Amino acid sequence: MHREAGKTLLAQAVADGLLTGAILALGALGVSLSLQILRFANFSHAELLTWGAYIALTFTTFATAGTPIGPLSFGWQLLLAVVVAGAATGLVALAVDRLVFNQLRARHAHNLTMVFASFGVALILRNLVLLLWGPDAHYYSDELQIAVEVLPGIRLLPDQVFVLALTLVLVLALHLVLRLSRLGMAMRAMAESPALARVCGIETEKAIRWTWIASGMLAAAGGVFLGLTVQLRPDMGFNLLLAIFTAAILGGTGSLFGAVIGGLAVGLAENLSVLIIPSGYKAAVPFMLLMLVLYFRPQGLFGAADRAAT
Amino acid sequence: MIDSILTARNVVAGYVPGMPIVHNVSVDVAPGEIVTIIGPNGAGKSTLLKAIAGLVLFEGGEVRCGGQDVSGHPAHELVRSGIGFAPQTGNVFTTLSIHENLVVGGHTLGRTLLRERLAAVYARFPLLAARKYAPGRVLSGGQRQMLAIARALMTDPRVLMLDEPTAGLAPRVVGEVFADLRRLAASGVAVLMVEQNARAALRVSDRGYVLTDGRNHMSGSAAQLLADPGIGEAFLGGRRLAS
Repeated sequence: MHREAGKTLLAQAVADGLLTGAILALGALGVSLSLQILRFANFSHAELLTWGAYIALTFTTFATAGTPIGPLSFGWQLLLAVVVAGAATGLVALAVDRLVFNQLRARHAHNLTMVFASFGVALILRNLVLLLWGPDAHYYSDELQIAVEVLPGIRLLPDQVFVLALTLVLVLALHLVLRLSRLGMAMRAMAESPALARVCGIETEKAIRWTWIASGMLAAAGGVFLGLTVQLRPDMGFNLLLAIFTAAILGGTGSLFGAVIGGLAVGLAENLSVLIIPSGYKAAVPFMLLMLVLYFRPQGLFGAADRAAT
Repeated sequence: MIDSILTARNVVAGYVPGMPIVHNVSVDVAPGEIVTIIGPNGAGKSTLLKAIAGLVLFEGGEVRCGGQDVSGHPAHELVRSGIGFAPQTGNVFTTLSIHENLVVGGHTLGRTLLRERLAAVYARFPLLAARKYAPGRVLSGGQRQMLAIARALMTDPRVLMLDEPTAGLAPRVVGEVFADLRRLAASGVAVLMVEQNARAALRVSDRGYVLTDGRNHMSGSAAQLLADPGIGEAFLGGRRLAS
């Protein structure tokens, strides 16, 4: 009996871990893209998750959450809101680049300067959310959901299943764009060797623009999914910042495949840890995992050696 | 008087503002001609090519390609002006397949033209066609060089600049690379290369320039440079190899 209960708990923790990991993976993908192409650690990236979530909230406020689709808590309006938030957050990211990072690049600023500037940008973005939407928590829908058994012993809310499925679709879409489209190849070329890419006729600024747009869109999706499965708060992105960076570094900075695996690993580590240690230590577990990986494999799980796997 | 396709006049260039590596260097290349730049390490040979290619700080002088002033233009614009460049190190994208390298090489081309150029390049380099999905990182030095040249040829450039195309290659492969370049020049492409393997390079070249301390030291036909005892002693390995 005890053994059965233990198995169920374990399976449930894995499912919850995958859900958290999926959201982290979307954030880590953007961080990894920034590290590869923009070549600096953008600590304002997590705030784009918040902006994406709140832009979607604004859209659903005007369009209403709509009649729920099947067992989901939301209607087609929220699906549309993901698209609108993705595009708008991409533009927010682009605007941030124009106003701050582009100016620094033009002055040949050191990478460290860019990192410090990103801390400042993060503060501005977070406080703008506070100013525009207030400090209170928000929800996309008031609908109550009942968890359904998706596999024996594993219960998930329909919204959580939706989040997992759409994350998979987004990751696959990004993979296909980077592998098969000329723009994707150009971005991968720029990530490996900016000088050689320029010699091939690839405009650096254009690749940078697309990097901001892509990472902004992914962050928005992550933000909406987080808002859907938890709640919207002005510090929702900031609270994920370290976990997102841990995921990107754990997977191997330079590997988008690694970012996804890193996200899932961090999500799983957090959720599985509560089975054996008090939940208060949950947030520290990914860092223990990171230290272990960096000790044995400093380039991360899929860094350098598997960059082609993007 | 040479009817040049690429003309560089009094080029001043380097990496740090006000501290040029290349001082008032001039070179010309005509269509169908192979021109080699030789000189000791640190003479500014590679910097000169990078300056023409728009990869380093261009501080003065003039570069014209086909009569068009391209002085100090950014690298991505020079491709459209007909200049192809294969750098010495990191000359292929190792994380991209051979095919992807070539597609990236043809980044400025439209869809139809890209298809045509891919077919033309694969026809010229059947070895690449046979391994088109192999990642760049698994290629040998010679194959990488071949891919670098093929990639630079994707835009059908009027001028092809190569920085030490035979560095680190086995002697047999060196011969193959030079034979490829000769065929390329015969098709009308102007080839400007920097080579440490000066004697072998001059043997396939029409003309050459000698650079020392970032300045023009000497120029002439390849035969003249090969026969010059001073050049032979200083840059071609001395009398033992001059024979």
